[in-house]
Amino acid sequence: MTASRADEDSRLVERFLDGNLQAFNELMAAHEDRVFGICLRVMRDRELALDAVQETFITVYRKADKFTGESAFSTWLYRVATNTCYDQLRKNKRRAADPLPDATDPADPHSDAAFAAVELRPDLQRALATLTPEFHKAIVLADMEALPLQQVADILGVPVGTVKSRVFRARRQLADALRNQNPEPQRRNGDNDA
Amino acid sequence: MHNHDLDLVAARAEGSVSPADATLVDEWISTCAECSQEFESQQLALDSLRLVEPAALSDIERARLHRGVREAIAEVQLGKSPQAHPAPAGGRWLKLLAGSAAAILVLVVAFGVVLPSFGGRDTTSADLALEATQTSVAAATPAPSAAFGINDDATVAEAAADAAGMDSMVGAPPLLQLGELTPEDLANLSIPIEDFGLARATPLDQDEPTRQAPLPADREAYRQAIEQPLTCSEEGLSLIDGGPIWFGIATIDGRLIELFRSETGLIALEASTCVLVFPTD
Repeated sequence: MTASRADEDSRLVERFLDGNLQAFNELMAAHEDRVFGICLRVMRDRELALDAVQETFITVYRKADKFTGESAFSTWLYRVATNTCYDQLRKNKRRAADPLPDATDPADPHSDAAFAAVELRPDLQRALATLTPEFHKAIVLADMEALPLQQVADILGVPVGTVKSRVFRARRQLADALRNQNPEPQRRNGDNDA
Repeated sequence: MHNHDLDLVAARAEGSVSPADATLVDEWISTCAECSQEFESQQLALDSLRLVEPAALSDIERARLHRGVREAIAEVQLGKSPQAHPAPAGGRWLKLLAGSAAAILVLVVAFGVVLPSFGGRDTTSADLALEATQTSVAAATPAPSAAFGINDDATVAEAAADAAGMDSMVGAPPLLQLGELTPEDLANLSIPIEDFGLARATPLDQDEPTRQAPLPADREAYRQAIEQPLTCSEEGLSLIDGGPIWFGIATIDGRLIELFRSETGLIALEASTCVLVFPTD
């Protein structure tokens, strides 16, 4: 999140709280894809994710006055999104450990090929599903959405050290789960260049 | 392995160690079996996660999201409790809209032709399609043949396609935008339906054969145009008495307005919220 984006968000929030609906639309436009990404990784279903994104922005609309400005708007928004997604998961009783369907969802006939490319590999989906919610949240926000650790900490309401620990352990569990599905080593032996 | 080493292992796996330090870190990792195992796990997980492309909404999902949020906001404004249900991709009326697209295009254009006769405003600055129409039809109330004869269809299709390409945060873009009106114009639109000439004669009936008549030559542009539904069709159709006989889109004071006319009257909804703005009482 760049400073200019954060500043622009702050201005938009102020305008929205002054009654400017277009400002809300602009906030939504700026963040809807990222919120959808978070929700999709959590819900593992595009329809459910879309529901959660909608609920997130409705919550933002109704509770924007609760945003104090102590953190970036995006941090507050992603916290709302994360909580909404997990709340809906609980309501839907769709636990992360549920078996995945063999095939991905039917393709949206209006979508293009790139759209399908964002779906997760089935083995990765299954591996992610083995993580506890705490670890799953950490890895979704830090590794999949590539948010800064401090922002992840603010979103989750835990210290940065806790986030680091959760991410580290989540990767370890993820790797174990991947190895269990694919006994042959998956990765090359080469180093990861710095 | 000590806990404080975890950061270093993670940093090396993430690729955030400087090239100068990487050799030293690798050397250190290679001397510690536990560290090597952790490093491999971290790298395997990260390699898998890096293959995941960022998720993005499809155009249809985005439109559904905007529509769902807008409807929920309207409920909030009306004091109801909103529930998250993204709007369906196509309802009965949206299908009807698509099925009767030719009629819509013609009726919207017909509306644009009539408009200058009210409120004294010069609407020649409206969109190009209407401008072309106005120059080709002299009378305020067009004869049916004149209205259908704006084929100059390429002009209509181009304007519709241009409109369809507009990216509107409040929902799907309009078929045609009629230009800037004033609230006074809107009030003056509430006139006897007879003055709308062709509009009255063309009910929205999918089996009505005449609506197939004005198909533009550019069928692809036409197809794209008709796939863009009005954003407030459900609200408009539920509010207007007697069922609509045409739809229109205009801007008033910079706000996108959707218009619905029946045999007995006209209503206008603000497109971003689908809140009724006319009549106001």
